[in-house]
Amino acid sequence: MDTAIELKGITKHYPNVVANDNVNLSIIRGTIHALVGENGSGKSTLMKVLYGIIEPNEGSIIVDGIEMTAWGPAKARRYGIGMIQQSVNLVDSLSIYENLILGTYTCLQPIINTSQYERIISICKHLALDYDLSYKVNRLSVAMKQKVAILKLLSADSNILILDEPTRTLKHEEIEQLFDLLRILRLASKSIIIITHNIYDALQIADTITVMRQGRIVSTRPTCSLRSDEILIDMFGIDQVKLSKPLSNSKLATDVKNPPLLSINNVFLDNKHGVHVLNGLNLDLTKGHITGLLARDRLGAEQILDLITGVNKPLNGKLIFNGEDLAHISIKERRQRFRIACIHPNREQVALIPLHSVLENVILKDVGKSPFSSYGFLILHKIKKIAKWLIGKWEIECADINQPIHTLSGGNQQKVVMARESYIYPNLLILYNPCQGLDSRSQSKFFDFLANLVRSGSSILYLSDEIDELFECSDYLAILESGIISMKLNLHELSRQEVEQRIGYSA
Amino acid sequence: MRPLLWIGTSLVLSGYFYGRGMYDIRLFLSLFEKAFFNYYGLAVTIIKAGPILFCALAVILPLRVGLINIGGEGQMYLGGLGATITALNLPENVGSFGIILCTLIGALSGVIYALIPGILLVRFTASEVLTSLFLNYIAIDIVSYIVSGPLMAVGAPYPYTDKIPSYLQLPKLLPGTDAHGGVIVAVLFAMMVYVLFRYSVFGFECLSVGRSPVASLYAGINVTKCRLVSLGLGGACAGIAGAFEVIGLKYRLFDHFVRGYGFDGVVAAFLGAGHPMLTCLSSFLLAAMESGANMIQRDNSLSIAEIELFKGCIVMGLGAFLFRTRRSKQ
Repeated sequence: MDTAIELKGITKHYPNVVANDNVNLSIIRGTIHALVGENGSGKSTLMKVLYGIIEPNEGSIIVDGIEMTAWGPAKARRYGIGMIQQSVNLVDSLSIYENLILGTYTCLQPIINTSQYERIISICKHLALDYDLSYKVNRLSVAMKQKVAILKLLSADSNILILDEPTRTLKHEEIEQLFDLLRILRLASKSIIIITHNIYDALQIADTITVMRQGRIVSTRPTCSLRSDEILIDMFGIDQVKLSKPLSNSKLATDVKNPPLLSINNVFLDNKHGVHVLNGLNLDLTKGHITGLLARDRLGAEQILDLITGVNKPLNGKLIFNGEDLAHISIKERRQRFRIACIHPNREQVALIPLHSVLENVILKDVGKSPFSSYGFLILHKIKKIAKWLIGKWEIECADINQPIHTLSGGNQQKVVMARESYIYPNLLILYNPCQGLDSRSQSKFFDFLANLVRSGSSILYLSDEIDELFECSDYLAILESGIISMKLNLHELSRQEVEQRIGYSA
Repeated sequence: MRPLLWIGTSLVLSGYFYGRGMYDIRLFLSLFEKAFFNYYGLAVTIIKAGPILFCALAVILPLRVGLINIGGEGQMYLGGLGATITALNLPENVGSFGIILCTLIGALSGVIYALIPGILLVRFTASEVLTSLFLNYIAIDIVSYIVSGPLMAVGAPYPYTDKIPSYLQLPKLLPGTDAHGGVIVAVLFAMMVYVLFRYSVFGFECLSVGRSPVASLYAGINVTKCRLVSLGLGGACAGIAGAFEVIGLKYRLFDHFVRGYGFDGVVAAFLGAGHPMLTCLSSFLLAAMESGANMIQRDNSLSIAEIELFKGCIVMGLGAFLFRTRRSKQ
């Protein structure tokens, strides 16, 4: 068989972390090779090394029998290596054609080059893509942008295509279309490497699957003889697949018949691009439980957050909180009367105001009511006192409470968000990736807080992209897929391996 | 790049005055001496400082929520119009209570006029910078039409309205001059705006909206309300400025009854960095530069155009400075 690329002994150290440890990998020409593994397993680092974004400490790359001597994306492109990042890099305000030729001409050449144009048209025809090349890129869907990015690599004569999590934001039929396109490219003897943590996508499209764990390659096997649980064991390690110990395990069985605190009934919602992200969502949150929600393709998770906090109204369907319809309840009232709190994943833009001081961010959501203000005027000494108390309680490290929050470290910023949301002792707390940037000590402190909250009868909805976090603390695990809850599992009754299998077979 | 531009303009400016043989600190000292310590100079300073400060407040209130109101001039025209119509139609027995009424109607006219760009912004996401700017010219034309038609005084040689009765005129501040009490109201308003910004929930919410509308929305702040209310309050300030020009100084409305205070207000607001108390200072500074220039141009060969040049360079430098800070925030 004809080897397109050979990676030899790639090692990349970061301070305290070994991202790649003596990795050897060869990619066969004309095949689709999937690289799977958990987040932080080193698969993205390896591909960035291949594309020249990261320079390894040791190791060499051999392309078509020639050793690459210099690093850098420009060099890699000259060797015919092209990469599409997770967020596709195209210039939104330019047309498809302008994006395709961007970077290929010098200033002395005319931009409209007939032979180049015809070549691109012929590539399009070959791939059965009937695009109007004068179309502006900002009017395309994510899936179409991705294809334009692939087209750009092909028009630059790339033979080795690296796709980083290409199916992450796509819908099912778009994934099928993408895979069809990749199969055509395979016939044209291009080599394709897909980085993914979705093993089912990998099983569907790849010829060979390489599993990485903790910076090392665990296995490289042809897909035809593989089963999904074999990959799972490789990904997580045998010793990791064991019974998890959820936080609150006391009165679960008896409480199941309680009326739910919040029930979401048959809710439909589009995101801002007009994609249907929630298609008849039903979800009940009971008191005293943590419900983990795993958003498979990340679509719809933020919308659930927006729905419950009141930023977005459902197109159809109802939200009932403690028997009351939430349809005409404002964001402020939901927080102040119903005590619904939320930790938004987008810390810089949504959860915090970077130019506000620590103090101002702490009082941001509750400033309009006592004890922070009366008759519309701030009570500064009380505000200061409460802010200082919260800062002490959550061990937020800041020199001064009037310091702008963007000068704090990410973990401390996150603690400010937690302090603010914990202040109202929420009845319902919605979390989405709440532990970003937190060290393990603060994280366990936060989980203690959650446990206390649950014990006192609050309900918690924990959204995450990572299954590990959810295993650690949830009572139930719900899977959000194609805008509905595709299954809800009781984590007290199932082992981790069973759960992973169930999730797997549902896909 | 931009700080270099600012330094460059200063160098060009000083070089120019040096070439004219007037690079002398005494020239500028005498300008401010005439503007503040000469009785008639002080009167002119006060006359100009009032409307400039009101128009500056019309800028800094919306600036707090991140909106730029260039429409102070137009809101002032409408305020003057509202006050004139009220003054000419009030029954005689209202006495000096009518002054308050005229001021309120003037303020209300300003509010309504300022809400037009506000509603266009929140409803159609139209740029408030453009709409408020264009509405200035419409306001000037509305006043032109009304004073040369429906409200034109009988037998007037050129377009102006009847004179408003003396009991509706603002009291004088400095006897023997035109300086009226409007400037005191303006300073009081600036203090109120300061308290609003510093100590009120609304001021805090407006600051949050100005710094991050998205985060404010998620925090439950009514972003639309904050934007409209602060634009409306700004319009009220400009409207009062227009009303005071009529009932304090001119006593009648005529074509182009004020010129450029709305734009001076923008300059003063940015010179004062959006802070109400600093804006007080900058408004008086701008007013003093104009009145002092009037006084010293007779004593020296320095023309009003050269003072305008000085002002222009400050404005340009600040524009450069402003853009730099806006970029770094993004």
